[in-house]
Amino acid sequence: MKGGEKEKRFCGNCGSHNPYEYPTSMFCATRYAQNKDPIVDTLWCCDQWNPISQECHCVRDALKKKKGT
Amino acid sequence: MRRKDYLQNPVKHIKINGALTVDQLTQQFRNSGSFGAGRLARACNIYEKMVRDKECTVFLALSGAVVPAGMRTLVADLIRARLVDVIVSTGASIVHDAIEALNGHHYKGSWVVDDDELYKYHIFRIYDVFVPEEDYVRLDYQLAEMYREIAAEKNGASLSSNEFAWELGKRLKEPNSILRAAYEEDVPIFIPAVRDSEFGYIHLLHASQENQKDILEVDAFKEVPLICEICGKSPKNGMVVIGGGVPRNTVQSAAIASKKGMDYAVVITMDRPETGGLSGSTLRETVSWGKVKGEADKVMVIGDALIIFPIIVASVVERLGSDFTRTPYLKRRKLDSRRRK
Repeated sequence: MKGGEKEKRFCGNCGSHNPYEYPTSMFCATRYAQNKDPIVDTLWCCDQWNPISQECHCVRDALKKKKGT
Repeated sequence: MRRKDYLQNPVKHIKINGALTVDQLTQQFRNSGSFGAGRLARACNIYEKMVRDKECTVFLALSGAVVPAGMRTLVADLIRARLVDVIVSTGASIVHDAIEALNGHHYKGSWVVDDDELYKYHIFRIYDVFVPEEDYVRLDYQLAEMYREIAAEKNGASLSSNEFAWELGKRLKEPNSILRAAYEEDVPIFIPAVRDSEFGYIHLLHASQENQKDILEVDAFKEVPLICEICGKSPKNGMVVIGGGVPRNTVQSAAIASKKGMDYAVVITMDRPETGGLSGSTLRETVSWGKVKGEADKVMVIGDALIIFPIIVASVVERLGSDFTRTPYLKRRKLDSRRRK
């Protein structure tokens, strides 16, 4: 994450995320455990957000893709 | 021995006359008889003997990363051609098979790469092969659903690893899949260290679901009688080992437990014997345990299995010819009654 992205909470920088359709959608293991639809938008966020342990490009690339569309 | 006994077989030099078939090349290797070429030629002869021997059950022990690197279809084809009778595999090899069965891919990459960058892009590296994380994630999701379905069908009863592989093969429809080919051809796949792979973490995901009535359990001990029975009832046994590790030891242990010892053995590895680890242990060392017979036809080929094994198969398939058919000695339907329960 860089700059302002640090303060923003997205599925794509949550500790529970894994890419499902990089970079636009994520698989959320927490939601799967709760029997909810586990496929979420990278730029979405819920109240169970937790910080990712290591930097990745998901949010950056999802934002780029969003701007490009 | 007398001095002249050591000097019986002169090296015949490798001759390449224009176009050679794979078997013609390995015959040239046999003429040389030296170093890796000699071992590879001997491996071809031993594998040919195994499949031609009507009393022999052929075990393929599969470890390392040959499946993601391109050997998946070859293994599936061997199953369909009945040129192997039993597979013993690492969990990872079968995971990579399942990834491709669910439309995932492995990509040609490089070992000279920025791994921090790969991490940020969610790309995993297997030496010079790349796997996108989403292909694992889709596997996790779809297999977790299969686990739930299987557990419900079994009412929570545990499965042996070969029953587990059979249930997955039943549900994966892609014809080049090892799991699918084994399911259709009734070839058992044993995965003794199944939890040491993505299959274990899919279990975690599956079991994490709230209100899950039945949890799929795989019982590592449950298959031991079956693999020993296969070895025990077969008049002769042969093994082709790619790599080593748990799959090699599982096959060898079945041989010793059934008081048999392997009659044929081909081991392809790059591991060294000096550490005492099984993967590099010589076949002479294996004889000391009774896992391979002293008089067995056996050879260890030191080299990259992704090169060596396809050459062995291509050479032997060429020798067998297109009319060759093979009926395995054991009628596994009798043996496998427990895995259909």
